[in-house]
Amino acid sequence: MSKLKFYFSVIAAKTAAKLLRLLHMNATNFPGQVGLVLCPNLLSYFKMPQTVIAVTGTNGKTTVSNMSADILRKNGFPDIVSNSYGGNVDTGIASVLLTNCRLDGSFNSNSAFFEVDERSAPHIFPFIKPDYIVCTNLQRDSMKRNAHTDFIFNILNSYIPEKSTLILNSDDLISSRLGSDKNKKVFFGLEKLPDEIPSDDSIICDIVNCPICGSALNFSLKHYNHIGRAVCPSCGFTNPKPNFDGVNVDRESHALTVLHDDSKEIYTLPADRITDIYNVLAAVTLTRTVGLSQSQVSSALNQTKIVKSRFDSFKIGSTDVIISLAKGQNPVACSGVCNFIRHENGQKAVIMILEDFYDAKRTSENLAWTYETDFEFLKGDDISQIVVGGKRCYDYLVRLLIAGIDKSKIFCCVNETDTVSLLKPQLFNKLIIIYDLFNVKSLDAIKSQLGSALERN
Amino acid sequence: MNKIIVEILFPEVCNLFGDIGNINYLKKCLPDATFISTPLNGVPFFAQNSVNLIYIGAMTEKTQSDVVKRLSPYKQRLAQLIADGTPFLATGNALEVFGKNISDSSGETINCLGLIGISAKRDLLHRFSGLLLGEFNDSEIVGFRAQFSVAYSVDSDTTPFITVKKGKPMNHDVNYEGVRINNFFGTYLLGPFLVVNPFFTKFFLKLVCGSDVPLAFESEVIHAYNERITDFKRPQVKIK
Repeated sequence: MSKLKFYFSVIAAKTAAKLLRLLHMNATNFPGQVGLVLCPNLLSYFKMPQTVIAVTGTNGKTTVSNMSADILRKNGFPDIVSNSYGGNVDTGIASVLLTNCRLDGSFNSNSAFFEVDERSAPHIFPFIKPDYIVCTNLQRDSMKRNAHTDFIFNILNSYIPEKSTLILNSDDLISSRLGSDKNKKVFFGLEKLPDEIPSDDSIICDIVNCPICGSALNFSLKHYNHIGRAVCPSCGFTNPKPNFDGVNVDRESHALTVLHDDSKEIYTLPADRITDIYNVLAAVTLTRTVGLSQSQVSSALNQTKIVKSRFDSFKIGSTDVIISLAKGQNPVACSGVCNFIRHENGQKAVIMILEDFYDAKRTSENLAWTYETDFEFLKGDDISQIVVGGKRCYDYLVRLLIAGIDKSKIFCCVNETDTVSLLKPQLFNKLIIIYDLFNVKSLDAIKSQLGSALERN
Repeated sequence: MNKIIVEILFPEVCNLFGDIGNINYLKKCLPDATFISTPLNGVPFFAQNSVNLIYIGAMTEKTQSDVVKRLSPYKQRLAQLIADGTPFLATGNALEVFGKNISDSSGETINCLGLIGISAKRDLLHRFSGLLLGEFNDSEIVGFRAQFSVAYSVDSDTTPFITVKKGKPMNHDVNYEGVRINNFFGTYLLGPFLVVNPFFTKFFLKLVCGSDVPLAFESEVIHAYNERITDFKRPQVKIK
């Protein structure tokens, strides 16, 4: 009976997907929703491809997924089934599987690749048991969605299949403990870079005490937040040794040197912020562990570019403009962008449109997360102006004042698209716009005004 | 006036939802005060000394057990400070640490300090997030919550803190949120509670300092507060 339900849900979901395509409607989750209603244990009936890979974690999973899938596609996995353009929860993954499978639930492809929301592990991993699971990191995220790292760690750890090879971040003392003795584990890590300015002044550090004995950990390096190297002075608990260890970055040639099995491997970095380096390390470690050679991975990475919707830079007149996604309600990701801003050279102005688009419509956004975000990084004299747009701009004004930023530098407007009119181009030569993922429409309106606002400068 | 001393308990682990914003704001309001941060593995300053305010913020469920263990040797001292009227502020689930116990849905019961008459029920499979609009001392209170647990009053002499006007109260049977005993204030509202509630903060600082204290960035904070209250009152705003 259940098998019949499965066949019926495959037909219904494929029909729904086709209808939506005919209507030019985007439906990343809908076919999966239909399928899961008709057959709740749908995921267990697919005859999965030979190699199944999942990428999860708090930050970087989309980039690592896209980068890794791209490397694999260029190297013997041309028809990989993936949710690159779909949702990363059970309904999104069900959609991808339903729309790509044959009627009997099997696939033409020999491989499948999924980005998996870390909270969705209980709905996915009991049915789909990946051969490889990458966890980029576990960090504080939206309190509404993710509560805290202990909670997410326990959810994820309870459902990791024993057969999965785990690709873990050795510099993350939380996620590096995922899995059991039965899991094969491969670690990636990053040494202190010669030109790196360690970031040990963040508000958030999600692990301060030893998870084994409770003593305070001694950190010798913090790349950002708790990502770094530490040791417990009482019991010796420390980071696992990385199998793929980033040892150097040449920013001129965009080259990352990775030490693996005592030999040096060089990879191209599409971007060189610390989080970008970790993303490349995760993708390299995964694809090398799957079996690709150093030259195959390196050659594919040479052609990889960061998606412009996440990071872009260009010049208008004499002003450099940088646009960066900052993920509202995610204090670690947003702090990373603030850290990037403080280390950028030039006299800077910042436009911030970080409010949650949906919360602004349906409720009133909980801005507690802004008090965990390192806006203190923006108080340098090299930042002339901070312009905040959105309904909650007065809350941001208070937060920035508490961060120690002079009131004369802060400008507020309720309408996000009015931010450009508040800029004083004579005060800066670099404009950095940071935005939340769902504020792209406002961002586009802001971008369209930049030419006339900055060209005279 | 004697120097004001504020003790922040375990800020390295009790700052889960931006609660440290309260302390950073107090530092701006009380620039001459001494702020003492006591780590989880340290000896609380209040154990041997007088303090004007003790603050503790939200924490993980595991940390709740650690905090109970660390504070248990000082239970009598804490009871004496509460009885003497020392101001306390506990935000988020820090409130539960001072209660009688926490019953987890797994069947485990964690005995807490037993200083206030509440008992909490925790269910890690069901989390509640929401907003709250309430009233205390004729001033409106706004706040955010995100919690796995619900507290019930188990003593008849437990005094409510905030009367709820919109949003979920502390549990289904009451119309209030949080508890107050003398100058101990505990609430599930988390994050920068003192920043978003300037009129409560004025009241609270008077308890701490013994006289009126001007708020830092007072006009900006009150403007943001008024905007938020207007927002919370919109009928279409889903608050829970």
